Amino acid sequence: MGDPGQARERARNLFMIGRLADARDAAREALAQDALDASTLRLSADIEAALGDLESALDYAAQAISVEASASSYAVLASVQRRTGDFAAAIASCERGLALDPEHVTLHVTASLAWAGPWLDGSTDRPSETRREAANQSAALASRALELDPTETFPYYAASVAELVRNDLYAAASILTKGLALDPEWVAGHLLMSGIRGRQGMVKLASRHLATAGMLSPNDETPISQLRAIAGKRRFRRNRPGPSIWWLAPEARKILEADAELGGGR
Amino acid sequence: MEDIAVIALTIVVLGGGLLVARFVGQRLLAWSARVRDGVEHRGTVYGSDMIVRVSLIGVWAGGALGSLGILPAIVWVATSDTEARRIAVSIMGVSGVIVALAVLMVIVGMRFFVLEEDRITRVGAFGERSVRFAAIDRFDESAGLPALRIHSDARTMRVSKTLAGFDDLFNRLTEHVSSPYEAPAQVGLGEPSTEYSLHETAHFAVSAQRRRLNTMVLISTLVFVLVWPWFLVEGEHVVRDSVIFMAMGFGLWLVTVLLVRTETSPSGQPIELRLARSEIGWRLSRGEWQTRAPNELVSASVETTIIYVKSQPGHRYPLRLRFTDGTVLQIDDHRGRHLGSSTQLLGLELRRRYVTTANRVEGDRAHATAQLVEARAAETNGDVAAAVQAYQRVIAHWPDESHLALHRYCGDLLRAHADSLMGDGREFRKRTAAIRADAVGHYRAHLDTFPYDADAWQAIAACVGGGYRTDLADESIASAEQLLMSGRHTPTEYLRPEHGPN
Repeated sequence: MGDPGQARERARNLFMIGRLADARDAAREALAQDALDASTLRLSADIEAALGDLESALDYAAQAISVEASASSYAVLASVQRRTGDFAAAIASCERGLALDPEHVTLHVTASLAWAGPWLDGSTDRPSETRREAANQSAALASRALELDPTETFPYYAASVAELVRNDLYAAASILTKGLALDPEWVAGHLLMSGIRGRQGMVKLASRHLATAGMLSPNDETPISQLRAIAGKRRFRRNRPGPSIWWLAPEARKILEADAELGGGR
Repeated sequence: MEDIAVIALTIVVLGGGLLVARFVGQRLLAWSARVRDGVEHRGTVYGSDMIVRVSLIGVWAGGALGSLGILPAIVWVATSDTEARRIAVSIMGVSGVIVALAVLMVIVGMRFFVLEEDRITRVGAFGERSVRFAAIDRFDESAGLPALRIHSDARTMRVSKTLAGFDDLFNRLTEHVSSPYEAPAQVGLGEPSTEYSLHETAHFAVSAQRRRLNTMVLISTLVFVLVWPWFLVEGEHVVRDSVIFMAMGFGLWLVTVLLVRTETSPSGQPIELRLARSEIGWRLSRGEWQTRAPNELVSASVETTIIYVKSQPGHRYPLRLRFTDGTVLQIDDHRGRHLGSSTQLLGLELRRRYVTTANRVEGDRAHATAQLVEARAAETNGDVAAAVQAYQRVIAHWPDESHLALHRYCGDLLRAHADSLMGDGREFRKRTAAIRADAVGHYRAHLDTFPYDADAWQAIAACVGGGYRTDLADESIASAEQLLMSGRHTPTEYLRPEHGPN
C-alpha cells in the first residue's frame, strides 16, 4: 500500500501542469488507498471536469460533500454544476457553501459566474429586467470576492464577466486590465480580453491578446482557432475593408501564417 | 430558347466582370492596408478610407460595364458585324477608363498622416513629407476645402478634416506647438484688437459673412426680383404682367433666401465673440450681448458628429461652450468660418485663455474645494444631476490640469445613470440620449486635457455606439485601439478628493 497523501499530491501537481490523464490515474490510485478522503474527491472532480467528463465530476463532488460538507466541497460542486449549465443548482450550492464560510472567495466567484452564465451565450430571450438583476447580483458577488482577495486574478474575471452581462464592454475591459496587470501571463484573462476587444471592434488588439494567449499556452488549440475565426469573420471588419489579416496584430499574423504553412484549420 | 441563352450568357459575363472587379478591389484594399501597416510602428496613424470606398464603386461599376461589352464582342467575333465591334470597343474602352481612374484615384489620393515623436509625416503612394513640430509657425483653416493648414518655415501641409480621428490628431498636434493660433481677421463693431492679451473690450471675432450676405441678398433682390421683369416683359399689359412676374419672383426668391440663410446663418449661434480678461461675451443675431465670467466656463470642446448624406458619412465639428448655469453655446463649422477661423482653432484659443488655472485666484480654489464636498454629498445621496452640476462648478472654478479628471468622472456618472434608467418609448430614449450626449461632452473635454487616455475614447464609443452614429463609435474605438496597441495609453486615475483642487 502506498501513501494516499503522496498519490494525491502527485495528482495535484500533474493536474496543475496540464497532464490530465496522468493526474486522473494518480487520483484514482489515491482514492483506491483512501476512498473517503474529501480532498482527493474534490481533486478528482476537478480533474474529471477538466477532462470534460462532467457526470463523473458531479459524482465525485457529491461524494466529497457527503464525506465533508465544507465550503470547499460546495465550491467544487457548484463549479461543476455551472459547467453543466445548471446555473440555478450552482447558485444554490454556492449559497449553502457561503452559509458555512461567508468569506470563501472561490464560492463568491463561482456564484458570480453562475448568475452571469445564462446571459453569456446570447441565446436567452428573457426580459431586460432579469438581465439587469443577474448583472447586479453577479457584480456584487464579484466585487465582494475582490474585496476579500484583490491579489488573485479570478475575481477580476468574474467582475469583468458581470460587466459583460450588463453589456458595458468598456467597464469589462477596464476591470480585466487590472487583473492582467497583476498577472500578465494569465491565459484565461487574455482570452476573455480578446473577446471583449473583438466585441468592441478592436480587432488588432483582440488578435494581440489571442496571440499572447497562444504563446503562453502553446498546447491549447483555443487561441489559434479563435484567431482563424477572427481572420474570417466579416463582422469584425465592419468599416475596415479589405483582407482582414492586415487588420490583425503583427504577432497574430505571424502565428496565422505559420499555422497556414502547417496546414492548420483544415 | 435563344432568349434564355442570351440571359444566361449575360449573367455569366456580368458575373465574370464583377469577379474581376472584386479581385482588383481586394488588391487595392490590401495595398492600402499594407501601406498603413508599414507605418504603424512609427507613431499614431490617421487616415481615411473614403477615397478607397469611392474608388471601389468605380472599380465595380467599370467591371460590370466592361463585362457587358463582352456580349457585343461575341457577336462581332461570330458575325463580323462592324457595329457590334464598335459597341464592344466603346463599352470596354469606357469601362477601362473608369477602372483606370478609380485605381489612379486610390494611388494618388490615399494618404496617411503619422504623428511621430517630433514630427507629423504625410505618407502617400509616391513618398512622404514631414513637418517637424519645432518648425510649425501656425495653423489656420483652408479657405476652400475643409482642411487644417499647418504652416512651417519651409512649407505648408494640408490635413483634411475627413480623416478618421481628426480631433484626436488636432489635440495631439497642438500639444507640441506653443502658440499655433493666428487671430482671425477682425471686422465690424467697436475697436477690435488683434492682440492676444486680454483687453477688457477686445473683440475677438466678428462674423463678416453676415454683412456680406446681407449686401448680397439686397443687391440680388433688386436685380433679380424688381428689375428684370421691366426689361423682359412685352405685350399689351406690361405693367400688370411685370408686377405679376415680380410677385412670383419675389415669392420664389424669398423661399430661396430663407433656405440659404437658415443653412448659413443658423440661429442661436453668435455672430460676434468678445474675449476679455474678466468675461466671455457673445451676441446672437438681433440679440443683446450676453456675458459670462471665465470661472463659469465648464468646457470649450469640439464635439464631433457625423451626418449622413445618401448613406455617406460626413463629419461636422461643432464647438460647444458649456457653462455652469447649463447654457450651451454652439458654434458650428459654418459659423466658425464666418468668424474667420475654425471651430477647432476657436476652441483651442478659448481653452488656452480660460480653461486654465493661470488666471484663477485663491478664492476660486476655495470655492472649488467647497463644491467638491457638495458634489460628493450629492453623489452619496444618489442625486446624479446635482452631483454633476456641483462637479461642473468645481471644474469651472479650478480647471483640471493635473489629476482630478473630473470631466471623465462626470462622464462616467452620467453614462452609468443613463444605463440605470428603466423605461421604454420615444421620450425615454430621447431622455437617455440627452444624458449620453452630455456624457460625451464631458469625455471630449477630458480628452482636450488628457489626450492619451484610451478609456475616455472607449467611453465615448459606449455612449454613441449603435444606430446612426456607428461610424463615430468606430472612430473612437480606433483612437482607443491605437493608443492601447502602441503602449501610449495613459490611464487617468480620477477623483482623489482628499487632495482637492491644487
